[in-house]
Amino acid sequence: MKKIFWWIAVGVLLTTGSFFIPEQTGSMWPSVIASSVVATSYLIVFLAVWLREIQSSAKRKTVAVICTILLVFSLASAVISYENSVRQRESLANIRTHIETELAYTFLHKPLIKTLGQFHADNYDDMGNLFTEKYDSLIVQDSLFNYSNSLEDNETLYLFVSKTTADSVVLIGESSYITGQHSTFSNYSGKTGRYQVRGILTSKGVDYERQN
Amino acid sequence: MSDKTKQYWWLPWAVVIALVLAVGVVRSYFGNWFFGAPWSPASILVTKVGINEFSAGIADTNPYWSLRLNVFVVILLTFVVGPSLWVYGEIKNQSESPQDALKKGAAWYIGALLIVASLQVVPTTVMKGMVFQNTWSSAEKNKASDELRSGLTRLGFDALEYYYLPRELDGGGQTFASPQGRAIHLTDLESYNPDASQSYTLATVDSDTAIKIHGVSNQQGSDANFANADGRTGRIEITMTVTPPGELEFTVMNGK
Repeated sequence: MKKIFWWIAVGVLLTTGSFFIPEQTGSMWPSVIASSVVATSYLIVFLAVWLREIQSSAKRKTVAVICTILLVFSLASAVISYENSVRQRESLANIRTHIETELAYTFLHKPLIKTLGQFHADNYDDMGNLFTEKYDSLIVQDSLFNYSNSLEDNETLYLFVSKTTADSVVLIGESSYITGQHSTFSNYSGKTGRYQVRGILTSKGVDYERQN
Repeated sequence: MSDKTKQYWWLPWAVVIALVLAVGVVRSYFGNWFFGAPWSPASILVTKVGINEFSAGIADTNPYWSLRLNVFVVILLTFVVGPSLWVYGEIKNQSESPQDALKKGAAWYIGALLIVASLQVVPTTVMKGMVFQNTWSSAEKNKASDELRSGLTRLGFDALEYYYLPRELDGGGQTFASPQGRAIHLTDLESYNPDASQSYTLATVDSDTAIKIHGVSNQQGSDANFANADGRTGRIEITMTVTPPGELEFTVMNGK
């Protein structure tokens, strides 16, 4: 009978080892999956060996049925939790990416469209000059365009006035959150591999393109 | 085993169930210690890291020891200690033939208590399944609404551009109503794609300075009988009003 305590001790040791061997930062799933596999394997082997020691057939069946229910529902619960956590994280990342791309689109278009409207309505002949007149107070640190409050500490979307000429205005939108299509792409800010879009305003309208 | 012991076989289980309920009530006053669903904290941790990444832009590397140790202890008690002690208690009791139904020994009680507590996994899994279904069905609808708003924004800026451009540059020359001898069409807008998964319709243009574009999603909205602008019923619909030089205004006609 005392042998059963050695079994429990070995089960505890194996489960502990399998839980703490994976790295203990970031996701907990590697530890949870490893230790669950070890612990449930232990339970199956333990029952296979020790269940026959119970003489009453009714009690044997009760233990077997309850442990089976426990294992089946635990597996279902684990699958739902895992799937939920993966989708949750992906969904949050997608929402953030969507917000940032939509903000980049809106913040690049708004000042350019307003400039376009005034350019044609008042028959201006220098588009760059008009844009600078309208937004001079928002252009800081040489070319950083503070239209979207990008100087706030937690902002990750930055707008830049890349070029202003009599015929065109070029704005750049850059996100430090979204990874671009090419990891080696040189961004306007000097970083590499980040999402970048460009809006070019001419007298014919706004051309908008994703550069990375 | 005495007749009395046989008659009252359920008594130890009643004690165990009462103990589990009592411990559950006490536990609810002392914070969130998970039992019966060791996977939930792992899921919560991933979500926490996701939220931090969402707000700060970088993934969080905090180990969250309290959640980790909670999960570890629950796995140990649920699959190793609980069932083992229960089986040990059953084997031990059959050799000792107790006269009192309640005299099962500490090992049996601890094992049975852990097993009963672990069986919470049954109702929680059923609940989780239902919540999972509702959550992700709702997320799909949110996504559809976001895509609709995004498509409308692009059409809105194109409409503003069209309004401001002079007629010689194929614009409206400060009017939507009759710039080219006819009112603006969606086909005048560069971003308009008639094959898009969402449908867009332009309301009758009866003003020089304002238009309304209706965006209709393929996803069902909250009102199943809502008459959508494109002739369908019950779909998510958002209407955008463009009034230069004002902002684009969005109105949810049939939400998620």
